[in-house]
Amino acid sequence: MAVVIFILGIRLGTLIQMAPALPHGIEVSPHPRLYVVSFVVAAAAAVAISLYAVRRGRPPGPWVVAVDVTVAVALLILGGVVVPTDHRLGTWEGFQPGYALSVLLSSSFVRSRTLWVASIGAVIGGHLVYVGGGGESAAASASTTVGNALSYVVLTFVTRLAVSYVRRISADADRARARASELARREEERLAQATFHNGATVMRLLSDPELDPATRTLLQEQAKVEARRMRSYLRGERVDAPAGAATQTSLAQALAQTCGQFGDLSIEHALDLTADVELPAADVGALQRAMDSILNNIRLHADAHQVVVHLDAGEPAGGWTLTIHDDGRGFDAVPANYGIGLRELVVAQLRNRQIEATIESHLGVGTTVTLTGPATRPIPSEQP
Amino acid sequence: MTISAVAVDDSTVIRESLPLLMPEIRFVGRYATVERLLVERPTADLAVLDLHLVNERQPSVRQGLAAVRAVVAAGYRVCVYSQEERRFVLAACIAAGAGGIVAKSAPLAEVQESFRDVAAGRVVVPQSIISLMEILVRRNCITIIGERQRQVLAARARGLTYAEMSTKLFLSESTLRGYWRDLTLNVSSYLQQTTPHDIEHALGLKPGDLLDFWPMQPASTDRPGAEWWKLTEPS
Repeated sequence: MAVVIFILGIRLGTLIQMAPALPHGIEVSPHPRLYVVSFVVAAAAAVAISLYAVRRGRPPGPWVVAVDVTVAVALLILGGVVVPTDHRLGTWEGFQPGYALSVLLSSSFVRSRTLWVASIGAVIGGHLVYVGGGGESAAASASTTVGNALSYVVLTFVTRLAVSYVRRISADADRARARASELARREEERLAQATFHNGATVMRLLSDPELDPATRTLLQEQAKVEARRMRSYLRGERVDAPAGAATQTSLAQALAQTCGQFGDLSIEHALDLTADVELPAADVGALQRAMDSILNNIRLHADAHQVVVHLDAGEPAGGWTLTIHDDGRGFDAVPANYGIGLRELVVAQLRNRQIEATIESHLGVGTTVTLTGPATRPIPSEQP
Repeated sequence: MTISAVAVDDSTVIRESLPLLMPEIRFVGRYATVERLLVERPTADLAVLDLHLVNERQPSVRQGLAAVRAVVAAGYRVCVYSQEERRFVLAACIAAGAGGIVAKSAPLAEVQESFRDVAAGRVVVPQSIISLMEILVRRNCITIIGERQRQVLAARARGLTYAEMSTKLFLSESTLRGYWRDLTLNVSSYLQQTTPHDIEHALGLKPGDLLDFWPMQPASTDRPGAEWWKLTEPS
């Protein structure tokens, strides 16, 4: 759009500059009718190019530029006939050089460098013809002619440089906009996956007709929680930042609560070493979601005899380490094999909260997920 | 190598099925009560002992810690084979002299291996006791252990198998098992020789929390049928 405005400004602006000198130009021209015709042609071309650019929303293509430059060159040559010698340079009665410059400037957007250079050359040639008919006067103003010819080159070159720069900025902006759009789409997709993944797993488990009643009861409780989460997402509410997210919550208590929802797994939780570690409720919520995903994976795939959930505040200093180990069948733990739960809920979402997740697994031996969090604000222990 | 064992369990089905399910263990005696075992006293490498032995048919028999202490006092290596899961109760069994604790829910192969370990003089403890051991070591209650033993304990407390530990610590499984054997013997001695008050202090419990669990009285004065297992675990 900026390019179209530029073309409009240059072409119609030049036309406005030409208009006041028209009566006097007719008056002094040795061929007034031809002078008027040349003025009308120039005005028509300027208006036509402007409308063409506005209608297309972009600068004219190479063929239109070629025609436009040809008309400008023809007007320059005709100018040598219709404009008196003493009015050819430095006056708007001799509008042809100014008009030709506006044509060159508006042609700076053409991508073909050959056409661009040829246009400059043609206009300079036309200009020489235009001033060449002036005899002694023309010879006396040779330096001005050279200066004018250089004006075509310099101004057009600078305009083309500016155009290239604007084009690059526009291209960068387009790329940035496309990337932002893609990132927003991915983020929405990720949020949807994170929101629905655990719910889908619970539904899948609940659909098992051979499910024992105790596990069914546990899963129904989880299904209620997941249904609330899905509803929040569908209403457009934030599902990753629950109310009171800034308040501190006991990590050990939250983990024990999560383990309690998986009574069908044989979970041994060792949480005594860090009973005093507290984290923001939002972090604890994310950790519980990650735990849900890990334990559901164990339910579905591991066929484990025992699961150990171990929390330690000692390593690294000031931080905490949560280990979830199962002695199930294990898997080839390369990121390409991670499902949505491990990839999104465990690795990606926790990394956003400065919690690093590593997954180790050996076929036939078991799987260990280690979550490491930064230093927290512990409540002083009453231990001696 | 086949080991010999006696089994004490009030469940007829378990008593009868153990020899069928574990052909590598030769059961030389199977009893519904500890009292009956102590009368016959057959020679065996191991005594497999259920904790809950009282039922309608035998309401006044010795059970729980009293049973453990009595069988240990009779010279048997005791492996508790029970559904009991409360960790302080299980720790109290080790304090009473049991060489091992195996859950009845454990896979059969694991049970047999544990019986063999206890018969060979090794201490077998469940995961819940391992986490208690880690707390005791971390709080410097048990100090005479080396760095490698600490590493093995940390790994076992996180549930790692010997195969996984071997990869992490660059040690052979037999070496790791050796470290673990020494460590469990150390912890077993600590639990047997330390007063409940000191253990309460170490674990951050209130004074008296363990008194209802812990084996305080000499074996000869244990009350048969004491209902210690009905007590709730301290919070």
